Amino acid sequence: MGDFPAVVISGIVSGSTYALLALGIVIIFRSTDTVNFAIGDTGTLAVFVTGSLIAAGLPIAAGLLVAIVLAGLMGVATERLLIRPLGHSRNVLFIALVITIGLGLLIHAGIFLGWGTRSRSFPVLVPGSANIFGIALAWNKILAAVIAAAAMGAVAWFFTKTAFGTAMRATAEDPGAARMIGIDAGRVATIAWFVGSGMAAIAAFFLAADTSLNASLTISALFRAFAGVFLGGLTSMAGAVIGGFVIGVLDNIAGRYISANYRDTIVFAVIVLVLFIRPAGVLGAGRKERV
Amino acid sequence: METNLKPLTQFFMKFTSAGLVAGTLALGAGNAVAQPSPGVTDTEIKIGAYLPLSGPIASYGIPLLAGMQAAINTANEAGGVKGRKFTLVAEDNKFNPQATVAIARKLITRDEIFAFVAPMGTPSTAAAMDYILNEAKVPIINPYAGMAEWYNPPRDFFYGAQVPLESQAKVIGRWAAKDGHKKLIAVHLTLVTNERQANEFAQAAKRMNPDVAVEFLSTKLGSTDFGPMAIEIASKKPDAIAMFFTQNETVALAKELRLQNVRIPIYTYAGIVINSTIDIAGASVEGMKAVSYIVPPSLDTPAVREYRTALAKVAPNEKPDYLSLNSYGYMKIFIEAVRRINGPITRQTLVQSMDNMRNYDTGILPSVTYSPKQHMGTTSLQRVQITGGKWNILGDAVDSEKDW
Repeated sequence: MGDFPAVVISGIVSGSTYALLALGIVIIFRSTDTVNFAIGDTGTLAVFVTGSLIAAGLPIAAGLLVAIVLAGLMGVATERLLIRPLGHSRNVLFIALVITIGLGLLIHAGIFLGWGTRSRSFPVLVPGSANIFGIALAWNKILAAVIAAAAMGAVAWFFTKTAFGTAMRATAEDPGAARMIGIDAGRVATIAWFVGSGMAAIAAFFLAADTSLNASLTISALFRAFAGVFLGGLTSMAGAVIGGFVIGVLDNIAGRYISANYRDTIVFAVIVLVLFIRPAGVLGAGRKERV
Repeated sequence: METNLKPLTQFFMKFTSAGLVAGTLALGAGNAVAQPSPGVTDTEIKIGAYLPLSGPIASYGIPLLAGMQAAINTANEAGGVKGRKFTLVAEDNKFNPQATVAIARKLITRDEIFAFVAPMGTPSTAAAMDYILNEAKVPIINPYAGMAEWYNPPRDFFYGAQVPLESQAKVIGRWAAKDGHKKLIAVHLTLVTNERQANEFAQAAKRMNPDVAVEFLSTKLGSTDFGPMAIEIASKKPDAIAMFFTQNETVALAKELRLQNVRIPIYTYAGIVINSTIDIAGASVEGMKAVSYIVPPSLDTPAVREYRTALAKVAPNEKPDYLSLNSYGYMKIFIEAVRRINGPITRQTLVQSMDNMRNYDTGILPSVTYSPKQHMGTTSLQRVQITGGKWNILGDAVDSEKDW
C-alpha cells in the first residue's frame, strides 16, 4: 500500500466538495426543515451563468464570488417563493422535498435550453499540480479544499460567535421559542438559504474546472454529500462536514484498492452499518419527543 | 285476370344475381388495392425515434435529433417524397431501456408511426427490439446503436448503417497490437455493451499478437472522480489504454491521466469522435486515436455543405459536429429507400427497397449496400487521430470484418 497516504490525501481533497454540499444541505435543513434536493442544480446554474461571464471577460476569481452571490440569491428566491408559502402544515416536510426535486429538474431543463447539451470546459483558478506523497494533485483542487475549509470555518465562526448566528441556531432548535423572544424566523431562513446555496456554488465551481461544465455536474457529488450528511447527522453541521470528508476518503480507498466499480456500494455499505449502530448519524442529535 | 309472374321472377333473379356478382367484384377490387400502412397518408409519412433528450446522455440525443430533423426538412423543402412530407415524432427515453419499451409502444399504438429511424442507444434498442420487430413488426432503420448479434443472422425489419460496437473494438484492438503495444489496459463502463467492447478489444489484440496482455478496469456510468483509477493505471505502467466510456468519463479520465503524467496512447471508439471531446479535454486528448463512422463535418463537399445549411436552419444553436452529421446521413438513407419504393408505401415495400439498395453513397458515410442476407449497410470504419487540436483522418478506411 505504498500510495496509501496519497490516496487518503486525494480523498480528503475530493471530499471537500462533498463536505461543502453537505454543509449547505444541513444549514438549510436546520433553519427551515427542508431537505433541498435542488441545491446541486442551483450551484450548477450559477456556475453556468458565471462561465458565460468569464467567457465574456470577467476574471476567474471574481467569477467565484459572482457564482456564490448568484446561487445565494437563487436560494433566497426558492425559500421565499416556493418554501415559505407552504407554512407549517402537517406534511410540509414531504411537500417541500418534492418541490425541491421538481425545481432541480426545471433548472436542469433550463440549462439545456440556455446553454445546450454539450459539456464545456471551465477554467481553473490556479493551473498546475503539486506532487504529494508521489501523486499529482491539481493546485485547483487543493485550493478548493483550502477555500472549503475557510468557508466552513467562517460558517462555524458565524454560527457560534455572532449574535445572529446564535439566533439562527436558536431558531433551528426551537422555532416557536425563538419567535417568542423576537427572532425573525423569516430573516433566519433567508440567510440560511443564501449561505447554503452559496456553499453549493463553491463546490460546483471547482467541480466544473476538475471535470467539465455540464447540467449533471453535481449529481454524483450530491449523492456522496447526502451520504456524508447521513453519516455525520442531518442536524449537525460539523457532522456533515466531517461526513463529507470521510466519504471522500472512503470513496478513494474503495476505488483504489477494491474496485472503481464498487465504490458506491462500499461507501453506502459503511453508511448503512454506521446508521444501524447510530441512526441519527455519528454527531447527529437523537429525535426528542415534545410534551 | 291472372298475372304471369314467371318473367318477373326471372328478371328479379337475374337482377339479384347480377347485383351479387357486381358487389363481389367490387369488394374484390377493393381488397386488391393495398391497405394503407400505419403512419402513411396521402400527404404524410410519420416516423418515430426514441432518444435521450434529458439527463447526462442528452449531449448525444439532442444533436442526433437536430441532424435527423435537418435531413427531413431538406427533403420536405424539396417537396417530400411521392407527394408526402415526413413528420418525425421523437420521444425522450432518458437512455433508460425500460422506458424505451413503453415509449416504443406509445409510438406504435398511439402515434401509429410508419417506422423507427435513427433511434439511439444500444441498451435501449436491445430492450425494445423484440416488441418492435417481432410483435409489432415495425421497421427499425439505422439506429445510432449496434451489436454484432443483431445482424447475424439478419433480423426481419431491422437495418443498420452503424458498425457495431464490438466490431469497432476489434479494429481498435488490432490497431493497438499493430502499433506494437504489448501491455494494455481496457477501461470500460459496467454496461454489458461496454464490457463486450473491452473483451472484443482484448481478443482482437491477442489475435494480432499472442504476446499481448490486457487488463480490465471498470466503473459506473456517470462517474466523475477518476483519481483512484488514474493512480492505479499509473502504477501498472501500461503501454497503451483503450477507453470504452461515454464522452464525460473519457474526458475526465484523460485529464486525470495527464495530471498524473501518464502519457500513453489512448484508443477509443466512434462515440467519442465529437469535436467537444477536444473542446473540453484540450491537450489531455492530443494524440488520441479512434475510429469514425463518417467524414468530418467540416468537409467542403456538396453533401456536407447541404447538411451544414440545413442544420443552421433547424437548430441554429447546434454547431456542425459528428453526431448530427451521422444522423443526417442515416435519415438520408431512409428517405432514399422510400423514394425507391415502387407502388404503395407500406412496411413491406420499405423492407424490399432496403433489401435492394446497392452502393448508395450519401457523401457522409461509406457507401451502403443492403440485401436480404445483409442488413448491415457497411462494415467500413475510418481511423482518426487528434492532432493539432482536431480530429484528422489517419490512413485508409478499414473493413472491420477483415484482418486488415
